Amino acid sequence: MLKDRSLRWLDGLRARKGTVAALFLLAGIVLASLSAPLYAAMVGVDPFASDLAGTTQRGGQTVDLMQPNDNPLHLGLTPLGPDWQPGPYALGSDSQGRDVAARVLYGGRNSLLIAATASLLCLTLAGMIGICAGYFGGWVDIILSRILDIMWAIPVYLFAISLSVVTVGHGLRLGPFVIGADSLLIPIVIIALVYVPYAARPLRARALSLAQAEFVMAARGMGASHGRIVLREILPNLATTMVVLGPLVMALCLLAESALSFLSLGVQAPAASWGSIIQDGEGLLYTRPAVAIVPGIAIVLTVLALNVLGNSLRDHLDPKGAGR
Amino acid sequence: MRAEPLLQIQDLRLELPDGRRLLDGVTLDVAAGQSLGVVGESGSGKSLTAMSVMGLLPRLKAKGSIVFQKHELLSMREKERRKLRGSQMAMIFQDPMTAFLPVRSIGAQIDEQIRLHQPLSRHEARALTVKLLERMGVPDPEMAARRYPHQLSGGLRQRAMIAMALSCSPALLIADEPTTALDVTVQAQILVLLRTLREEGAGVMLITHDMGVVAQSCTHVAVLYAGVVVERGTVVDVLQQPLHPYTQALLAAIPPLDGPKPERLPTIPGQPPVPEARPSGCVFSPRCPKVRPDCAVRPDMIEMGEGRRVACVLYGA
Amino acid sequence: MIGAFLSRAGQMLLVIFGISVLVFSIFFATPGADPTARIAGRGASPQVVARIRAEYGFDRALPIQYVRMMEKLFVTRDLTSYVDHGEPVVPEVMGAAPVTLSLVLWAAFFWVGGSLLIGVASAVLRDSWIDRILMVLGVIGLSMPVFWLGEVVNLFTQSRWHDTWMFSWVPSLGYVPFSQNPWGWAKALFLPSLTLASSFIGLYARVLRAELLGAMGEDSIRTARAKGAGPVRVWLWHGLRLSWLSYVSLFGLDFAQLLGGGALLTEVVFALPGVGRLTYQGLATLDLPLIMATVMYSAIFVVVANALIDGIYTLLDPRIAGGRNAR
Repeated sequence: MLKDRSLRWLDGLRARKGTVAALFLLAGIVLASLSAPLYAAMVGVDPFASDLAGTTQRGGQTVDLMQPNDNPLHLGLTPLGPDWQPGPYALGSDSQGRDVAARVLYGGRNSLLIAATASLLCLTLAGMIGICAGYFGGWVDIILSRILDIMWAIPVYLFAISLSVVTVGHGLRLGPFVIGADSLLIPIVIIALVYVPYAARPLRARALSLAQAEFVMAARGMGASHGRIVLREILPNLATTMVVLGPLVMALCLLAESALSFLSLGVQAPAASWGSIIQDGEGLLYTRPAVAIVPGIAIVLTVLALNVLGNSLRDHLDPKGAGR
Repeated sequence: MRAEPLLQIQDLRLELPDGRRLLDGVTLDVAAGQSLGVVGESGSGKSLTAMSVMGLLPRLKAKGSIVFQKHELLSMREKERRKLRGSQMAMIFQDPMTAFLPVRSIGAQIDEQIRLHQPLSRHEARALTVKLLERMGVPDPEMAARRYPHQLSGGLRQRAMIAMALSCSPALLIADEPTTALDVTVQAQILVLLRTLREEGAGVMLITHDMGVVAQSCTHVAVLYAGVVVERGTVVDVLQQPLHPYTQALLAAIPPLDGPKPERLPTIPGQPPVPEARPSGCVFSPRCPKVRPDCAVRPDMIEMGEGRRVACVLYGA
Repeated sequence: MIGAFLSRAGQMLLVIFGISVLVFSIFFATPGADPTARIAGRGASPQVVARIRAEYGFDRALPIQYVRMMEKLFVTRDLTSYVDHGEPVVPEVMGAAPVTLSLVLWAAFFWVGGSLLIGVASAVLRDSWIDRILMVLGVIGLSMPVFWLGEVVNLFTQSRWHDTWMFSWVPSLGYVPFSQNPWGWAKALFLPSLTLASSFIGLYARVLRAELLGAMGEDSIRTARAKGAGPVRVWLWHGLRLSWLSYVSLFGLDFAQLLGGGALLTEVVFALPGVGRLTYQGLATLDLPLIMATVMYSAIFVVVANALIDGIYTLLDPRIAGGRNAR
């Protein structure tokens, strides 16, 4: 059933220019981010090392990365601005003398990696909860639904911030499992957790209606075990809803990651993510706006592509609409 | 003696944007004090005919002519038509549960129609509403007006629906399967109500698939098949002496009320044609037991007597 | 009726209890995240750590810590900050609340107004190019991180175009209390609330459009037209009346979440001293009681708002007045 519908969606793609554009945009952003080390090596910069005394070439001349400030008193230093030409420091330097363009590409790797794994983890957890609550019902459903209610009552970003503030920079010790202080796993797990209620609700509702569907009744009537029904009947049908939710949840995760990193609670320096670069650029907003603006545009384009993709998937696979 | 027709539909055709034709020549008329039963299977275009008269199909292009009170409706501006809707012509829908807005009280919805067409205050409109409900036989009408659709029984809801349709004393009342969603006992009450209205001088167009309903409450009947009217006449004539083979088959499929019960009811073999496969000749010819070579040309309506017409080659010159 | 109310209230209390346990455990019982070490700071001597542990009661059993914390938070309301010694947390949160309330009220005004306008317009003009443009704009609004949009707004209105006729009226960042200067209050909140509303306008317009189009296919809408009602009346009176149920429930949730601190990023970027910014300042100094207090208050806000929405729901839709549990 799923396969059939996905094929139809692919057929319909020809008629949907917006969706095709979104797919290409997304592929472009992913490729560009993956090529970050290539870019850094090509233009010859180290995007992670602070280099306040460094110089670079501009139009055949050697210029300082840190320029004297253009305020009347010439106090302090301003990083080199962008020249929008291919080559090192195309987008200028940040306040640490690092190449902004290279950092945006590296930041994209982290942002996309976190968003993708967090959304996968979130959907997996939500799917398990949805099946338990929706298929088995009874007190399992009551308890799980109440727990989701409780989690849902805490504003998403505050929830993520609370979890981050106690773990980021300190790591987490769960028995034998130790997560390092600046491991990417911390934001991944946190972001996945806070969006579990969002994804679990539609999945639970779907599992509930599937559990009462006639083909499930028929399977039960033939004496199939719960495990077999869940694996063979429920899961393949639930997968449609999960595929529809996928891009939408990933878009939310990307926004959450950027917000956490913007608050210095996500990816930790010297590593970068789009959110943390915006944070770096906040102090330079009026003098070197490119530092904060460019990673923001990257976020907008990625989230936009994901949303367009998600809406298109939803219109085609699940016209009744899962989750709003 | 024939009464001046209130509504005259001539050769009404209705097309989908892709060219499929839903109605392919509907001709009928309703006079004041008459009650016309429009009979046909589902998909024959009964409801579409009614909706075209009301002007509730803005997306479909209608051709032909619909004359109401000497005005041509199809060329009338939408604003003018809107003034007629609800005041001069009113419609009763099949399912009163979904036809009412579920989130507002019955009374408020009837008040709305009254105030759309008459310069009455909220208070006066409500008084009229209560009076109408009472006339429709709704017990405790004041209380009923304050209730929501889901709080009333199906019969009461349909009475409220009729009260709403009658609120501006329309000259023409169109009832689209008004009793299908109701219990048999309630059905009879509603039909009696419709008959009273007709006797008071309104023209009634009753859409139904049930010959029994027609026999009980109509004066005239028009038989619709695949978007075409195949036979018209008074109820007495058509039911006692059906001329068109389709009407004959339709009546034969009703179990007799008295006499020995037949072992099996006769059925009509085959399926009614879908709009894209409608025959260019007589629409019933593929299923007709009396089909002849000249059925390949669409037969005209032949006048068989006072108000009695049939579209079949059997009665040609 | 009273029974239903009581059971609703009981459920609410249960959820609030669950939230308090959850929030408490996040801050004080996360494995490997010892609050003592937080307060003592890095490289503190073992003696200092031991003293802090005893002073704040971290050596007691967790349930006792929980009870004491809740007592300080809700009963005596004298929970003090670990960082600024002696600064009580609860009055601080209460003092910041009017700022957040003003911001969120303005934002709600913009996003309800905007989404109603856009939602109805694109439903009426469905599949036209205007509809498509409006929906694309909506998705773009939905896709912008609010803190980044805020910075872009600041860049243009505070710096680049501040001296042009368009933005010369924009006051410098910060808040002006209503009681001091109502006009200044409105000016200070205009751009921040518009920024905050931008992501909601698109989402709400989209929801409203879908619901409206669904409602317009209903039999009751056909009845309205058969009554002789004009298009404006049919769309706005009958159509909206049928379709704003999910809109209202969505609105209640988002409004409560924003009031409870969801507007944190907007407040930070526009330097508005609201509850969210208070939390943000707590983050910088790792002021756990302060953060916990704001999270707890906001969660309770959401729960109460949820109950209110359920009440409004029964007013809006008489069909569910009979019995409607939990959700």
